[in-house]
Amino acid sequence: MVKIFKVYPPDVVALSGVDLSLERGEIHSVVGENGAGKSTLMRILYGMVKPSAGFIFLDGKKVNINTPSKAMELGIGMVHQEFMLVPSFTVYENVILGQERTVAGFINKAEVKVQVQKIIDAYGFDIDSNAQVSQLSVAAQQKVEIVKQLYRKIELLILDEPTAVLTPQESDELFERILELKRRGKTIVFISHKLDEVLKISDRITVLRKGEKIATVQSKNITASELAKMMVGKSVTFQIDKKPYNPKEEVLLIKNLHLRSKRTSKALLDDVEISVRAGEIVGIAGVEGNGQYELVQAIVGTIKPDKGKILVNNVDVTTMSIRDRRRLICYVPQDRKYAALALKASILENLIMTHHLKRDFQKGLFSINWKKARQSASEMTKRFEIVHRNLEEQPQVLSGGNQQKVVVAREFSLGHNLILLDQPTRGLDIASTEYIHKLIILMRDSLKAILLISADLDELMELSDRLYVMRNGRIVVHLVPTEVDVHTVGKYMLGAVD
Amino acid sequence: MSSVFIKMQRNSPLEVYKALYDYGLGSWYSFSSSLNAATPLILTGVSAAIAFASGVVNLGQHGQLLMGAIVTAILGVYLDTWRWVGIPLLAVTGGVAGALWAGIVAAMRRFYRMDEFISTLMMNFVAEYFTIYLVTYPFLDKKAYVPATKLIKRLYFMPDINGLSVAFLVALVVAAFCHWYMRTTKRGYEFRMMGYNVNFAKIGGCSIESNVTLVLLYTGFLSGLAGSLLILGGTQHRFMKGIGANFGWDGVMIAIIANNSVIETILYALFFGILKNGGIGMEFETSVPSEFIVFLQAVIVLTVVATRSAIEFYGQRIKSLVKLRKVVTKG
Repeated sequence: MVKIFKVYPPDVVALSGVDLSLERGEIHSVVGENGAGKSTLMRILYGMVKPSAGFIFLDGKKVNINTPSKAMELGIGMVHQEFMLVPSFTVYENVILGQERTVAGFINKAEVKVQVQKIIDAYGFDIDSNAQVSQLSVAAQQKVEIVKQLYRKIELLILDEPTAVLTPQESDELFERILELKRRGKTIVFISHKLDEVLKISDRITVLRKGEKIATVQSKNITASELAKMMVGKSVTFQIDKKPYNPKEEVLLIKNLHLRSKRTSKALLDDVEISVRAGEIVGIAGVEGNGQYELVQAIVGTIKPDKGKILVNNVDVTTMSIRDRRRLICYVPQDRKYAALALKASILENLIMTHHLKRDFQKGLFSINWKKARQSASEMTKRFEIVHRNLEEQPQVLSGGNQQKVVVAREFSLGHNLILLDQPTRGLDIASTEYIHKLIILMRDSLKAILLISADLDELMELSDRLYVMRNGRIVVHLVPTEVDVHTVGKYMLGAVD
Repeated sequence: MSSVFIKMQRNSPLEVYKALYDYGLGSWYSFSSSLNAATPLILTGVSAAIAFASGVVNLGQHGQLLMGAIVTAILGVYLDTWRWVGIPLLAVTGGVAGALWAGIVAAMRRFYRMDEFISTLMMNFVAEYFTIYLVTYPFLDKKAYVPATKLIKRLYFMPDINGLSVAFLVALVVAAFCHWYMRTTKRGYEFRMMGYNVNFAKIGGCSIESNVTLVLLYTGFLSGLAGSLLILGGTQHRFMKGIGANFGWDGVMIAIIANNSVIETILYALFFGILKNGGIGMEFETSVPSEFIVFLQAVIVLTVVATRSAIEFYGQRIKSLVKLRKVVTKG
């Protein structure tokens, strides 16, 4: 790929003049912060996005990849972060979908199954071609995606953040499969922002920053901190200072919480007991989809548990409306677009949500005191360093980091004792993540009770004072992060130990 | 573009536009009639704009207007009180009738989770035929040529100032109130946030269900008031079959062109009032039928909406190309 430019309308420069060369049979990593252009570059290579300028050469010939099917024809495959599988289909059905070889319109199932199983065995993937995809774990589904690409006879495989959803053990397993692919002469492009992984697996590494290529280096000649420096443009400290652990009174107490799925009657929450005290950060680890989401929803009040009690500040909130609970709980939801922000309203209107329920934001019987609202909104933007032009601007023009700062500013200024954080740094660049981590610590040190749910184990290990691990809706173990290592936590997440 | 069509029908576009202008704006008389014509449009438009801006798909303006009109028309015949008590009382009752009609939908949504999109739409038909039944049988004025109720008492006719009906002023004041309400009050803020992102509002602590009910009642009231003012302020002072005309749907259309902003809705309603009134004059002067106005409206709607998105689309496109050039030459 030579001199690739991409400008998204209206004027977002995603890539400016990026060169990338891939050699046959190598594992090449592309690293960079969120928004550095990794995904855009890969989407261009896979034909999903049209470059604004630039050329792509394959085996010395100039090619024009304008659709994913063209890319497939050329032997380029991609495994996306979100899997593109039909959950109700079996493994082999998913693999052949779109590439069915038919005789008079019929698929020879027996033959196809054998073919698919052959690929699975050849590369050492441990999955059953007859299993239904919805029954498989995330890691297994990812393998199905890779097999799907191999069935299409690809030579170049792009893996977009494949380890983001995996536990450490599963990642190790994935790396072995990737190395197997390499041994068989396939070329792999590996996208990630976890630097130790990148260093472990790749032959060469290309670093992108703000849409520009910084360098391509041999992975054996470089260290993690040098890479990080290249990515961010300045040296990063991974050190966080906390006051000594000295928790006070209990703020959140969850007792005996049960919830069954209405459709499948599977237990989503099974006898969950959690307590969080003032001045501590309690983390919840677990493979995604093991009840963390339901737990958060039950605390906020968007779903009703079947059984159990939730107490905040010793007040039973189990039957309270969301409105009443929000007078006690600060809450940062996991999805900015879905629930945390109204992207097309103004920043002002976004900042005063929930605050508007407070008496001192009201004027007369019905009105909002807009003067007061404006004043406190601009205080929030100053205190939380939100980069913006004016309060009338829409959050959708802000960067992801600044959007999240708007959410965090709003919630942290509510001043309630309990702070509920659901994936507070997902999808943020390193600088914003660091900033938000600092704020979380600050809140802990000012004696707030913090419940932190995250898919990022490193984040949990770094921030939490105590850690619960959830699996299948149950709290399986209660750990202290300073006394265990990441791998032990990973084992609990997977259910390898009890 | 509409000139082309006028030409095709062998009429002079210039003459047509002149007639439109003369009868729509040209004199105080035509101007005030235009404002009178805009009165129901302002209210149904604001009703739709508020509903849409709150993320509530109330398409029942037509039915709510009819219910408001019929209640006012019937009460206006029988109610016996002083003039200055009667007129506001009738207007408010009409509004309440519209609100209750929308309230049925609100109840169905609240208790049976029925989508207001379909139920408001269906309630239009119910209202249409229910009112026709009422004017054809129980409340028929035997002396009238078409199915209609009796004239309401003369003392309840809304006064006018030099031809400009007080009904217009009422509509304007109510619309101004709506603007203030949506912009300043706590409920108005919650309504708008619901329209932007209902999950955001829900998590933020707004009670979605009661707000939706309120929006339906509120916008139902506005449409009902529109019907009420048609009876009190219009020219017929009785409920005749077809009185609702297209006011409900025009209101929805105006709200869409105005991007659900209350102020813009008022302005577009005035503009459409001028077109409507001018269209009648145009029919006198030229051989172009007043139906042509409907066509003209459609052209305007399409043009405004298309231009808006085209400007945005191509504007961004050009911006991105300029930026690309800058980036490429820099490197």
